[in-house]
Amino acid sequence: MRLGTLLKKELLESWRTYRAVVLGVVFVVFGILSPAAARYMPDIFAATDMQQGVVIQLPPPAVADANVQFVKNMSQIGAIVVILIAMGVVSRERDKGTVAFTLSKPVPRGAFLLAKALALVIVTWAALALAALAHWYYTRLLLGPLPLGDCAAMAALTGVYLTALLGITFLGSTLTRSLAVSAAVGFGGYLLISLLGSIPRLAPYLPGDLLGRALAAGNGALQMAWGGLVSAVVIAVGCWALAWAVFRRVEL
Amino acid sequence: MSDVAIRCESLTRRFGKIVAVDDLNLEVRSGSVFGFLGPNGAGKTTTIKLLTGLLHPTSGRAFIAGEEIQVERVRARRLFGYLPEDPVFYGWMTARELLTYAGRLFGIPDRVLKPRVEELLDLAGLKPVANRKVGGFSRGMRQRLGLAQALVNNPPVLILDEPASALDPLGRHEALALIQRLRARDGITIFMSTHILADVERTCDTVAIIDRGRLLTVADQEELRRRYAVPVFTAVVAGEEADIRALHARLQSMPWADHVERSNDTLRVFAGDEEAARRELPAVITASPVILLRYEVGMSSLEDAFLRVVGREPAKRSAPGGV
Repeated sequence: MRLGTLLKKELLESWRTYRAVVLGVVFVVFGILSPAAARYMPDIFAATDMQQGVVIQLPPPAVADANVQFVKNMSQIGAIVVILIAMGVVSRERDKGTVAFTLSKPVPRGAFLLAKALALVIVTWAALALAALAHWYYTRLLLGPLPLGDCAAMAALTGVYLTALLGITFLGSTLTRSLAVSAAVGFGGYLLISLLGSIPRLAPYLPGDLLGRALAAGNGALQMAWGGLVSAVVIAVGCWALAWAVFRRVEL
Repeated sequence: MSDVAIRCESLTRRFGKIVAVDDLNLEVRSGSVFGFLGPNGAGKTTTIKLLTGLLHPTSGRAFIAGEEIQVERVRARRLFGYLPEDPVFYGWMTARELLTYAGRLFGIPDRVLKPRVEELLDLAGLKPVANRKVGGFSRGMRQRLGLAQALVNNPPVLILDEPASALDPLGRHEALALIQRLRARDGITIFMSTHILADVERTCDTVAIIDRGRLLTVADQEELRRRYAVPVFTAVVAGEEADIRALHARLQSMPWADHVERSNDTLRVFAGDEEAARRELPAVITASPVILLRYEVGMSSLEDAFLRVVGREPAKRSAPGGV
């Protein structure tokens, strides 16, 4: 009952403060741009070659190129937007003082945090679903057939990766009332995951592994290994649990 | 509910070396309007945050309607409504939405909540702006909305932190009038912190005075006045500045005068010995070259009593009665 009220408020707030709209628009734009870039990039390069006299040989554009663009865009620009959206979700309320309005009422702090985390996940996944639909439609239109199931699996695995980043940023937002520190924790976590992912022995056990598998899923060649998925879920859930453990003792 | 609405047992809160609330023992009677009075930085807001479970006590306990208050304990929060010193709300909500949201957090079913929200909008005088976003509200409107949301669950205890101190005169008048209406209507217990004595005089029946974290006294307003009030002789005079200054000095030297205040042409003599003052004061004034325009005898105000209790008044003798 209380969780439902809190969740409804969070979702309404995301909508009314345009956070959900911004996220949705950015994701959909990159969902459209991914096949468009794959389709028209060779033409753009060709036009540039003619002017400068440099010859670049490019293979004909394919669905796989669009999928590469999609996963790259979502795991880079998408990740940055997600961190920017999530960094103030608790810290801004603490800084402004609105948190005392809610928590002086019979609201468990765990429910307060859970509603915020769920709303972030729902909004991010909804934006990602719209982006995947846009990507699927424009890829078919510009490049050729892309099975909807493959596209959905690609988006879902990318979504799990983004959810891990959400968890880290959410923890940062709970630890402090400073937006700058929350952002630092979010971006720091993002960089750390990316850097550790470049170590071959660690890579299969980190969320970054999901991005390669997302790409394979988009191309209809998914071979699932659980290391990346498990680590992403552990990071997301662990960060929320840690946030709750800290927040339940926080003085307001 | 028992006779005691709020009870603090050796409630203490330290911030490092600073003791913000020091061994506070307090009982607030059910149905009273309790003024928690103290200068800025006395520990009023810290006490209120301890009472509302927003802060942990370093030691001691607090109870509201018999239920112990703890940060992690949700059940006790059903028993009070709380208005913070500077109420901040979700600016994107309308006043009606905010009250509905507050009610749902208490688990009030919609069929009960809907008329309750309308009633509160009416009570707070916010009906004409019920569908306006709270972000555009003035401080006074936010304060009234804050009072309305604190009442949404019909709480037996209402805790108000400086409910009128930051408001302009009109806003203050409206907020205090609302508190008085509540008291008359619901028989609710109101615990109200303030540093404005006029607000206490107007609304509270019982007063506690706190300073530097320590409770100095608790008494009914009238009793406090009786306990700490002294006769005050007010003389409005006209004359040369040097003559008025000389009269001021002469009065201060009188053995029956505790303390003499001067404000332009007005002299206020706080008499330690009323009989002697009545007998000798007119003679002292008429013996000086100044012209006496007005002469009054009365009792000191609650403000004077407050200053005596917190020891900020340069009286010669100590206040009567235990502190």
